[in-house]
Amino acid sequence: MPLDRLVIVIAVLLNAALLSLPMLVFPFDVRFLQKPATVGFYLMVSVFVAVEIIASTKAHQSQEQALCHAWLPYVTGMALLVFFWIDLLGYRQINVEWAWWHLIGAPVLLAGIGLRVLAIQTLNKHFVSHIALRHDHRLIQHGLYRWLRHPSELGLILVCAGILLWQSVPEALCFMLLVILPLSIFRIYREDAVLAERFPVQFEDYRQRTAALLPGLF
Amino acid sequence: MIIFGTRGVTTTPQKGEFHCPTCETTRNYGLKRVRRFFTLYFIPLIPLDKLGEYVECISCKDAYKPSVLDHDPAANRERFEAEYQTTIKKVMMHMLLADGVVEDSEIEMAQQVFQKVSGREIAQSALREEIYLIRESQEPLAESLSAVRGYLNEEGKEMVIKAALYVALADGEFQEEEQRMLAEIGAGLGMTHAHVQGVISSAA
Repeated sequence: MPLDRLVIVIAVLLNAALLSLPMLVFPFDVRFLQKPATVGFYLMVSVFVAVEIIASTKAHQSQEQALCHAWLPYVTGMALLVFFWIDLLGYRQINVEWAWWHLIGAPVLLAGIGLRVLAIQTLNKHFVSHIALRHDHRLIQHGLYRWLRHPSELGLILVCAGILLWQSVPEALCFMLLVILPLSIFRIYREDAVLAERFPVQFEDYRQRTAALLPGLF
Repeated sequence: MIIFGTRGVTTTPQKGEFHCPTCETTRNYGLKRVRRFFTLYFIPLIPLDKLGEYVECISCKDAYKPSVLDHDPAANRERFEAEYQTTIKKVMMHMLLADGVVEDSEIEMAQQVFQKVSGREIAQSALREEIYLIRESQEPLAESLSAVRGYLNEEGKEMVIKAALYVALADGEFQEEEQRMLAEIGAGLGMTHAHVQGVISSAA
């Protein structure tokens, strides 16, 4: 098996193990793991992880020094993991009903993954984890960025929304509204500030005609 | 923001003191090692390949190759001093042998010069033994000269010439073979003929 595919397989398995960590602490009914909803949850998150790894290895990533808030990517990464934990733990009761409309979660999650992949492909070397600028940074305004300033953040929100719709765990919804969304909005404001400083005229014009997340709303 | 993938993680496996070339004094350092890790949710999980190492001065924050830790100016100075003294001794011994006659006055002069340069005493018997070894091995002088040539300043080179000159003049004569030997020493040190002549004129 080629090395890159092996890495993806190992990553997916590791991710499944990470997601399952809380099961070591909190009691659960084993039958819960056999439920279609649970299997679907693991599958959707695995797809998210695998696609993100493939996209990141194809993009020419560089390690840039954070201009500010170096903690932000690490906190967001942990928050996402905690979100998945809360969602999984909240669903571990065996008698929770799973309705047909939960299926909407799958296309929403896939839409989120798609947005992130397109964003990574469009920005390529400019897609950085920290709030940072390359020395040859350019303001990207083509492709997906013609309609949205932060499509990758929207993609992340949709991934979380997809998981929420799939299993409808109220605690996970609270966590998303109180932690994930504020982190995303904070990152959007800080990235906009950094870009406005580097490209004052160009970015102001771009900001006037392009929404951050939702055209017409934000 | 990439949540899954690889990133470099920097650790500091070693700390200590070293001679910082920028600060030109002994400073604390940290040996930084950057290793690529496979990450999930930004958590480094699987160590991959080592991307590199560098030494960072805690004071000036300049970065150097790890080989800077092997640089010990004090030890280098001592080694150079030892090499310099050995070269002066060899130069004088070769000069002694240049005219084919080893005279007591020449050995005495060599002893005095060496003691003045090195600050330590050396017995004439040791010098005689050195002469015997050089004569037997026919060891070329050029090798010793090229070893010190690179880091001797003008003053140092002139000192070598003077040491050889004093030995040559110790028997009261400055013979042709000795003059040729002196020119050879000067050339070995990368000095011009005019420079050598200048040293001879000022010392004689």
